[in-house]
Amino acid sequence: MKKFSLLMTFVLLVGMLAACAPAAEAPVAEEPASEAPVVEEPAAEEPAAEEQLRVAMIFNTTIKDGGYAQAGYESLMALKEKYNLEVSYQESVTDATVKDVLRSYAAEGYDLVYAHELYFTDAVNEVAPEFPDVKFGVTGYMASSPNVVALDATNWEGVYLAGVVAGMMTESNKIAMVTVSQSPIALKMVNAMYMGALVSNPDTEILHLFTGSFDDVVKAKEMATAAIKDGADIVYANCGMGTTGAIEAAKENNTFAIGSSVDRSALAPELVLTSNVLDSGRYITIAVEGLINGDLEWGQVYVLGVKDGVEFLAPFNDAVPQEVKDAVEKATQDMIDGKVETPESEKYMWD
Amino acid sequence: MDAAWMTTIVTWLTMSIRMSIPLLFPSLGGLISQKAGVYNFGLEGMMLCGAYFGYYGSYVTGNPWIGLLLGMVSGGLLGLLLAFTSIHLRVSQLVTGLGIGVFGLGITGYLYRLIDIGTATTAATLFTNVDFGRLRSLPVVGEILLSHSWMVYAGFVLVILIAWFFFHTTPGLNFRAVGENPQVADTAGVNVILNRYLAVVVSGILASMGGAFLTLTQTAYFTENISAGRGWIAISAIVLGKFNPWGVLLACLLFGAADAAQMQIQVMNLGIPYQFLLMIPYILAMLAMVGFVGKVRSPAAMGKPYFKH
Amino acid sequence: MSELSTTSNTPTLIKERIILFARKNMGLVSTLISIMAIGLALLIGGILIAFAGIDPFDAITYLVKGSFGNRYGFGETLTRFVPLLFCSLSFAIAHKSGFFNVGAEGQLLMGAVGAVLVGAYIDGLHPVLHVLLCIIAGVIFGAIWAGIAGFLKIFLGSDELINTMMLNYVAILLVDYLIHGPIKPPESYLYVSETILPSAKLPIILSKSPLHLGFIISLVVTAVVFYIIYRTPIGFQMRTVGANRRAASYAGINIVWATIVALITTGGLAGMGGAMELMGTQFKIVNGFSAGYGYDGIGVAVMGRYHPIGILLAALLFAVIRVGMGAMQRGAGVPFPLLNVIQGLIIIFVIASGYLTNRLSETVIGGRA
Repeated sequence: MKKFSLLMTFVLLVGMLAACAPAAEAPVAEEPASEAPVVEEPAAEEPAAEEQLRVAMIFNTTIKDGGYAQAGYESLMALKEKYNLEVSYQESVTDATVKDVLRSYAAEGYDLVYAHELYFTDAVNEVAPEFPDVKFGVTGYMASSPNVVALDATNWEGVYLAGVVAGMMTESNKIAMVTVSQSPIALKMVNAMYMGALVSNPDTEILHLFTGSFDDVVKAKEMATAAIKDGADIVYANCGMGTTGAIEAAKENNTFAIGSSVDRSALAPELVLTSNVLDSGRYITIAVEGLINGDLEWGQVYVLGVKDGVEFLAPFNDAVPQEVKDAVEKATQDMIDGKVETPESEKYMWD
Repeated sequence: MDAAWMTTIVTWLTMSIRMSIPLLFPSLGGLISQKAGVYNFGLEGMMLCGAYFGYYGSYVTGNPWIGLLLGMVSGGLLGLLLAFTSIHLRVSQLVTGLGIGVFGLGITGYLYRLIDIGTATTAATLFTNVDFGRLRSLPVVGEILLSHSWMVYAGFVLVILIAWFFFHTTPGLNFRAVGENPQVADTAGVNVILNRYLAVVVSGILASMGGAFLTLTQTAYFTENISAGRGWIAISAIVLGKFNPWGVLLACLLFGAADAAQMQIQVMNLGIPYQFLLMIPYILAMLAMVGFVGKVRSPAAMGKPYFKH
Repeated sequence: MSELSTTSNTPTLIKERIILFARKNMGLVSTLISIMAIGLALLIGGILIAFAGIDPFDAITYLVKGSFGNRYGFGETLTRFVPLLFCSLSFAIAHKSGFFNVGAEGQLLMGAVGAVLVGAYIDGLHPVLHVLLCIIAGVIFGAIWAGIAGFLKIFLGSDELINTMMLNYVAILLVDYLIHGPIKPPESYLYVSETILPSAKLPIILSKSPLHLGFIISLVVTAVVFYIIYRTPIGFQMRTVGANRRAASYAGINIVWATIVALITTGGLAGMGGAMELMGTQFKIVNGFSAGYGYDGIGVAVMGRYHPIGILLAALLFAVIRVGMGAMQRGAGVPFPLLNVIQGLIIIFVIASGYLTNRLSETVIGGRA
């Protein structure tokens, strides 16, 4: 046993040393790292001397989440076609490992590394100064380095418009909102919904529930059910994958629902009044096209909303009367004219 | 007590039952396996397979029964894998279970990706709730007890069946003997290996039914990691239930009730940080272990591989 | 096997020689068997990858390249190795002492909380002292968290499997609460903890890589822990209690004391892992700080057969998987769920291959794990 231990220690050490010296004398015939990810056939496909732009994208969920990440992924694929990009992505990256992923991509020589998640903001800003030649993009709120651009939605303008619809359509004056947490962004949404509803309905009450999880569909469904039993007659769901569960609850209880992120009408065409779409695929498009056309200011934060076409309401279903549609139209105009205040994000407005 | 309170309580109890069923199936499965002396730590992976294949079968054929069957087959197969490694190969049941968990998460996620992007057409056909006719409109009881799909009642019936099997039949007695003292059981002519195989495969099937419950009665959609750790909670419910089917039922109801209570408290908006609300079920379980469960004695030969002499 | 030797002679001789050789070099043989199992798992994984329309050789190349082939990846692998090693040590020590600790995940998180409290809020210390204090805080917090389950077991007879599991969930929620208020930087837009001060950060030991001093510390700690377990009286007492409580009590061993020491060690080790991860890599507590190290640690300990070298190798394997899988996604575009499939296959195959090793050594490792 002891002899073996010695032997294994030796093997381990040799293994480590071999890996330590990847350059010349490593017997594994390891090419230098910088060459590693070069694709095989770009020269053949591209007779022009123009170099292929290399774009990497990082997601914190799987790309099939039916919403946020999926929209980003689909945009990336569309951009790949359109501009003949070389793309790569890594999904389900945790906040704890994102720095390593960012550094790996940057070291592999990608032109643009885009992190599609708010919580990656700090990491991107921390890593970016180490790689001044690489451009970084983040769906976030901070760009402290000249090679970083941050793009984010207002995260409330679309909800405000949904609130206008909900306020006019509710009969019990109780609107349920199911979100993931009570974060400032969630509170902003809740307050935006409240403000939107107040425009036409001073008696609105909001029941705010949070699932504590981005992917617990069953919990979201049960929460929405609880709210409906409590008298809510419109369910607005914005809780990651749970959104489908909350709409399922509305369907089971024959209650109106408003979806989020993408158009959810297919889940229950008669009951989903509309969805506040957040075109999160736009960010990567803006970043990539900005890099190609050179018309994006790096080191800047861009906050995009209704005016920029990043947030809007999906087509209404037949249950929504013309007067509601008109009210939404008016509210949209008000918003573009800057007549709507930004809701607060610290506490509920009615507290 | 005013009407609003009444509604809240009725909703809470109804929800408690619905939330406890996806725990009850895997817990009963785990219980059967453990009674025969094999730890099933793969419940989570088996649930996920049940959820995915249940969804897939129902989505493709439009018949939830076919989905359920497919799900049960997938769970049974994973059970067979666990049985083979733990009974024949006699390697760590815990780590094989962990491996099955990771494998189940991956394979269901991957297969789900092969299906086209989610629109209404990808919805599975759900089991409808049992029609109790006029009884359904009974006050309180009608809502709490008679508003569910058949799987909920099947879960309760299973508890009765398993309890009867263990405590009132000879095969059940033999079965327990296999988990308590396999040598003695073997000498008495009980086929230890066969009993253990059966137990683990059945446990996989039951766990997958718990997963199928999620997609075939609750959501109509599959999402990656839809079981969200319920397979692990189920393991706790077995210990909390003192390795007794009735105890396991109570434990699952407790978890379900605590989870549902946590949601109801949110609806009432009492201003407690939500993390503390979400902690309730776990802390309750720990308190219950100390308070009224007392010392838990697990089957003596649990986790120990059997060697025929 | 001895019955066989009567029938035919020469083949048995070779067979017996092989068996003899294997027994003498059990560790080497078991490592070789594990490597073959990994190869088999990768083969199946490769077929699945090919089905997904990706060149499996390309993918496997990225697995190796990403985790060893370049300086950064190599450093990253050894960085991931650190918390895995601590968690597996934690599980192994508990196992030796007859305590079933599946709570390393929670203990690691609480250890990070301890380290962040000392690292971020105590200012003006010499770096060496600051680092030491942070580690001690991590150990204490981890030990307390394991101690809750231990207290319930020793004095109230409550099952530690369920309690350590429940405490994992409670720890995750408690930390979530803490980063939502009490330890959140007031000006921060996100829910994260305060960042520790530069004096509490562990130095990088391989430039242009994330590899930090915690790697060396983890190796030293492993040596010390196994020395204590196998070469000191208290270690002997812990093992005796773990092997047979009743015999230990007849032998006059203070079971409560031995169990308490075991608990402090097991919780402290996981807590130390959390402190290292915090001080070397993360510098603040973020969502999903632990990322399953606690659960992987169980697999590492069992696969490593609770043997120090085995644990080191198994921890390295898990670290390679973690890092290499990222590279497979980035380089070859292998879908993430497929990576989970491969990881699950590797775990199942390596564990199942233990059968061969057991047969060869004819000492079967059974027990609760």
